[in-house]
Amino acid sequence: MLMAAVLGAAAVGHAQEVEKRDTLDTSYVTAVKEKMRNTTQTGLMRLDGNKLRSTVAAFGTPDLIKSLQMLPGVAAGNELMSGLYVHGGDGNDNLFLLDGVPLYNVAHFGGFFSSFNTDVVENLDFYKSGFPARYGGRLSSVVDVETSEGNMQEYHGNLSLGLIDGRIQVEGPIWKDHTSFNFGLRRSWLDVITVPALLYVNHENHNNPKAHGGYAMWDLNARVTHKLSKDSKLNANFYWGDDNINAGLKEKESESFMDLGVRTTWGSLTSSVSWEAKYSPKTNGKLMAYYTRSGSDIGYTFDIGSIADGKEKSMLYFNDDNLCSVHDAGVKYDMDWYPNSSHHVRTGATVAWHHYATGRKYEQRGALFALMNEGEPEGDKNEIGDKYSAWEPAVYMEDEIFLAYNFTVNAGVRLSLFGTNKKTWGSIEPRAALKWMIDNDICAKLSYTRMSQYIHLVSAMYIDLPTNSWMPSTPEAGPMVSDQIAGGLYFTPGNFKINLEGWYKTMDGMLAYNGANAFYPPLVNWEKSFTSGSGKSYGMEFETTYSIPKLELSAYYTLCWSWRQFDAYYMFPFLDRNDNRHKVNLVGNWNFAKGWFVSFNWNWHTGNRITLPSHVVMSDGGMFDTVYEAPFNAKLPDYHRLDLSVDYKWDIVEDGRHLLCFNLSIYNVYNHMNASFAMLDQDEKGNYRGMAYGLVPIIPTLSVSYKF
Amino acid sequence: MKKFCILFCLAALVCSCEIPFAIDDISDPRFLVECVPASGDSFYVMAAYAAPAYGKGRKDSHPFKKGDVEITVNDKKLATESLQWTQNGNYYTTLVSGKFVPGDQVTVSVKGDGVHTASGTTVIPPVPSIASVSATKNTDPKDTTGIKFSVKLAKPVADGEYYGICISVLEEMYFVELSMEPPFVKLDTTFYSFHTTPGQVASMADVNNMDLDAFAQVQYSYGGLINRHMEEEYSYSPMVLLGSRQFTGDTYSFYLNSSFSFFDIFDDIDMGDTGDTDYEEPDYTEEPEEPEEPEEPEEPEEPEDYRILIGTKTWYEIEVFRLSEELYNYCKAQYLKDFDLLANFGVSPPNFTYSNILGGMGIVGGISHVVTERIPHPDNKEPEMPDLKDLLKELFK
Repeated sequence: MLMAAVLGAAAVGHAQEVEKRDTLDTSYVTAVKEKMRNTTQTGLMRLDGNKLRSTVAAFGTPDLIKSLQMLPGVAAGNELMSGLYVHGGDGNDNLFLLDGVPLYNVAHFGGFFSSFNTDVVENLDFYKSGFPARYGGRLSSVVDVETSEGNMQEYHGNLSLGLIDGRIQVEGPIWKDHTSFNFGLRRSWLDVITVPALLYVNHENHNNPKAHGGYAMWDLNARVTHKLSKDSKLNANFYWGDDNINAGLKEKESESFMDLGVRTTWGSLTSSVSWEAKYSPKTNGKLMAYYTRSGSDIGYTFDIGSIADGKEKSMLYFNDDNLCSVHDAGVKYDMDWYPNSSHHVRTGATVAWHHYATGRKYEQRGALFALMNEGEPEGDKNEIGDKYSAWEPAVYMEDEIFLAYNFTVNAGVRLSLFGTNKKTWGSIEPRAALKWMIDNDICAKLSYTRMSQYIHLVSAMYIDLPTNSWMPSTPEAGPMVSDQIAGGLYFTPGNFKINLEGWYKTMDGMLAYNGANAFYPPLVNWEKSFTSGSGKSYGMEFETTYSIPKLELSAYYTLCWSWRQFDAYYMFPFLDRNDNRHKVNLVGNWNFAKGWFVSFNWNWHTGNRITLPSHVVMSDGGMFDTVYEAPFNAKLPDYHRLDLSVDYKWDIVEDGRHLLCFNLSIYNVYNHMNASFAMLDQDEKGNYRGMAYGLVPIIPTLSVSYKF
Repeated sequence: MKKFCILFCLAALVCSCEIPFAIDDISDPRFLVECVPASGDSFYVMAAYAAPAYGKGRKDSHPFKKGDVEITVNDKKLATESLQWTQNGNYYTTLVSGKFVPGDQVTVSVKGDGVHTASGTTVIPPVPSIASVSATKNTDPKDTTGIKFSVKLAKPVADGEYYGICISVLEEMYFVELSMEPPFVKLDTTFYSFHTTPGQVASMADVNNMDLDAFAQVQYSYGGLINRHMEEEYSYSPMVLLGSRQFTGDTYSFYLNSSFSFFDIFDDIDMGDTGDTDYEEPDYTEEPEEPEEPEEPEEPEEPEDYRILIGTKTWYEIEVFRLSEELYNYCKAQYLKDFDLLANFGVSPPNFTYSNILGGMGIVGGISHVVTERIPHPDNKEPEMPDLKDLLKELFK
């Protein structure tokens, strides 16, 4: 009995050394980061919150997604946007988890800023291949973000003022050693900046017409942790982020008025309650209930009418709202079990209820409306839309098996169902990863994964707009499936870390918009405007990092091919728009003097692809018809950019507890205008050429923060 | 000085926004081939030399000669050595005579010096079988969309089946012609016909749906060739493209005179060259039963020229097409070319590039069609002969 207990404890120690992140002790992550080769999975990168906060930030605000864009195997898409195209993926196939809860809308302001406030991020795991069986539901990547628990002993905080936003983060004990909180709030103040401008304009117009408007984004994170015992604790997490744009104009004459207003709101909310417990030295588990929603409302109001006796009376009134939303509620349970020194078993189950809705509400009324519509006095009020509900249960099991000759296998399977009122789909997803420790400093890995995705992003555009909505699979637009094989070699000689990884991925059931260009995708029967196809991606990544105290230099290189086949576009395979064949990133952080830090990031990649007319057929009179040979047939000029950041931390009272931090960030230091889009153009001699247009110049920003 | 510096900086930024770049490696010269073999008909092959837009290997034209086209039907080569090409600008056409039937697999290859051989294959689809057609007047007082047509096929439309619809309106105008000579009063008719465009079921719900597919249409020539370059020689009718999802089971319903047209949305946008045709776009907002306004009858100088309109009858002919998948995709791509603005900005999918020509561009796509019998307008009635006394009064007043 005693022997069994000793063996059990030894097994736990061994397994936890490999994957301590999965136990209760998350502070271990930073130390594990440098031991990447110890994980069995390929394609896993771990970043801690400090690392994220120290990366160069456009507009002075550290951005989680833009940090991921720098990593190998990832294409960023349009400049400044929060695109994340992993291993040839489509950008809508990444699973974002915030404290284990799926987050659908991960960007603010059309994609300029990600929804994650880095002040409260403890760490993140980013999987590009070798997905463990505990993750499922998306094809291309998993971004598992965990927020920090509040400090149980003392209060700390951070106040920041940036170019476009302000942030506040406070943490501390509610009940010392038992209960803590961590609270973060971020808000932009572009609307505050526009107030004086509007006041001036309205003053000049004597408030007639009177204009109003502004844009604001904000997000709030809150986490409360309560220790029930030394082996169990409760967590409550909350996130709420919104964007709001509104603009309007009101004009009054002596007997008439006109009121015009447009408004857009979109955002997400997640909340969860979880209970983590260590049941025995060999077993621990986590039970969680969660709710998440994401949605948007885009509308306008138009009202003209008469004024009599000081009262306004509508003559013609329109109100229009376009709505879309997704709501999820679910329960999941995960368990870790260490039966002996050779096994680490993870198993769990989840069941989620989804509700998807898209629609339009409009109202038209007034005497003029009645006149226009043959005297109908009541006007017209209507609501259209589609609503879907779905259930998604899933179970998984994976076992990390420590074999002889330094081999480790992580074998698992995930079974899932997705049922709507029209159809039910099922998926069996095998996952396997093999690691061979060839020597202390070198190992080889190989993995195979199958992933299924039951939801689709309904969008007519490549940019992140509030008009986009999530919809479930339907009989006409079934689930997407990907298969990926990845393998690599990993060295850690001295202060270097060198990784070389390759992958081959196929994606089936992909959807692409196949209607006329429009900002609004279809609101009902959305499948009518989409066509299905497949994709294929392969390539290799090279990563090297040199680390010594106070200095870290990294270089990443990606060689990638990304193909698509959509028969309705073109009957042959064609390169994807994000086929950035070569990509190089150089990243450095240097603490060169006490309190002084400098970071840089140089990014170069082959240009995105674009569709341009490839041929001309000359017609009578010198006119010509343009012909397109294939989609994405042209390549934009190469993209390159240098970002620089200098930080100075001033220890105000020299006790290390009160820091005033100044940050100067320069985005696109040498002002290289990278191509955002291109068109067909003629030079002075009449020869055709491509003409690209750059939109983003050098952007210097200054921010200041106070940490205590 | 300060203002100058600001202006200088702004100007420097703006100037640097334009980045010319060479893209001369994206293509060699190709042939553009368009060929739509139809059931029960001969077909044309149209070919054109498409020069790389960026100059590489470019020449002004490429005259086709006999023997430059090869046609294979069901793996059997047709004798094409003597086929003559007709030039129209830089486009060349040749007529392939014969009577092709559904199920025929047709391969067309066009070759020429210094250019890749371009070839495409299609199978002529089965002729659509129409079970019934109905025309009913709309009774919804909120809907001002006119007559509703329902075309019911013999069996439900399956996924992967593609159709097209053309509709012709035929109007008979009845006149009484009065003259000084016997028989003094004579009944005369004048016949008008025009092609028009069906609107999708144009209730507000569908309009709000923004289902732009419902308005996808191409110009179709009666010879079986979709040819946006030959409008001077052929007459065209607008063909509305229908995927299986536009059908409800076996039935497709549409309103002829929609109060809403897709093009209303784009009234303020330059639609580019949409392929001018020799038919005039009808005014969809008119009441369907009203005839095109006849020319104002001139005041008769001589009483014998006097004509009085006493009635109008309207019929409709619906032509239902079955399209091969590749032809449907190509037609839709041609239609979507008019809306490619956002795709050129790189923010929207380029859904206007379809081709099934190996080594070139264009389409070899099969089609078959059937025409319904004339469908009378629900309000049609026999014209009533006016009272002779009144007519004579009119004549001699």
